[in-house]
Amino acid sequence: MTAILGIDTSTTHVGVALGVGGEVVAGTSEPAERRHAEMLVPAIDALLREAGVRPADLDALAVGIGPGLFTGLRVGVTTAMVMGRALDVPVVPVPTLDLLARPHEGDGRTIAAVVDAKRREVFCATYSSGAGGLVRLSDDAVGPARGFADALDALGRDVLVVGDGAAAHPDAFADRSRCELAGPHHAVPDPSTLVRHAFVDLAAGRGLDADAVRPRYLRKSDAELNWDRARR
Amino acid sequence: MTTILGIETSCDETAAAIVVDGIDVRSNVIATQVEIHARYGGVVPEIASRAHLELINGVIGRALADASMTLVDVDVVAATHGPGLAGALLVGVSAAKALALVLDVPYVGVHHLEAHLQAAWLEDPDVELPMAVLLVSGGHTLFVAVDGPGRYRILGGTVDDAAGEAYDKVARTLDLGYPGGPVIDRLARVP
Ligand SMILES: [Zn+2]
Repeated sequence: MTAILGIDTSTTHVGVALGVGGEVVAGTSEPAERRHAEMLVPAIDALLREAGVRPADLDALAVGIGPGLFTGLRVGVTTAMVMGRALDVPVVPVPTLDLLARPHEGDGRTIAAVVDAKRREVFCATYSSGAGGLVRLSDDAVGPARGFADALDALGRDVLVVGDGAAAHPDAFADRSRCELAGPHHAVPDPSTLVRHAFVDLAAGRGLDADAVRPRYLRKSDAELNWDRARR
Repeated sequence: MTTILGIETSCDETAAAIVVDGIDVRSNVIATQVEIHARYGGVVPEIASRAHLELINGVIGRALADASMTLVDVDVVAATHGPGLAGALLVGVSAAKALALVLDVPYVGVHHLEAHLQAAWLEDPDVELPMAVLLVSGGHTLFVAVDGPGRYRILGGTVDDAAGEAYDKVARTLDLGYPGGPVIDRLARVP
């Protein structure tokens, strides 16, 4: 039976989950407060031990690849890449915003996955969630929270906003009559969703060689931005 | 015989080595990022961290291959856990912890400067304690008394910046390019 370990450190939480034979058997998500590197491996170790699964029993890894805050994001992606290489198994990369939107498949409204990017900005993508399943409407983007909230308003449709972005930028999302904020229970990705997603992707041949996985940063470093600006 | 895989990502070099019984260096692989930082006149932490992530598996793989070993030969995985660039360090620490978990072997976090002090034994395994060490690296300039393993006293250091930092800052001020050390050394030579 196929066993998949899911890892997500792309937000404020450290999330891990284990799936066996298409079913999620266990998972945890804990607030990390910038201690992702300290918390992740003990969380994986506890998860596997409780399930009686050894690392060598894993057939694949799944990892949230962001966008998210760089340092935390890299902890999970590095761990998945190194474990994938050491175990010689594929790694399934899953965009973090997809993970936030996925549980709302079938809702019917437009789903906006919005994650705090600091500096008054958010990472954002939109999805339709009707009978056709979850369909992505826009690429991952980063920009001012207020600009995204304006754009969601301008859609003229009912929108469900998930992720921690709206709570992090309350004034940008205040008084948006057609936006419903999904609230704290839908603020961070559920690692179980990641593993469920990964079973489908793995079966569809979307698992990657461990070295081919890359985080979705979306933003350049400040040094590169300044360099670009100076040469413009 | 104890085989240690050491991983170091504290600054702008992604490095891994295989060392047997503390002093027998079987391989030592260093991927430098000098070129990608050169245009910014110094190491950019975020760029360094991104490069570490892309290089880490390849560097570890090369260190094992150069030592004619595989992961099953590794008894301990160690990594520099600081001081250094926070985001960069976390790539090496995460990689080392992940490997230790997979291999079911201990992980050892190593203090960056303690590792510099220990390097003395690689040059001469018969060095006797106590000893005084002048530690001059890119980011640190210290005079240290080593009384025993894990027992150190800082006897002195520079008043403000490390010697390596002074090199880099002078080079930046004089527009000598990066890294500035070799250029300043050459220009400072008496003809
Ligand atoms: Zn050093």
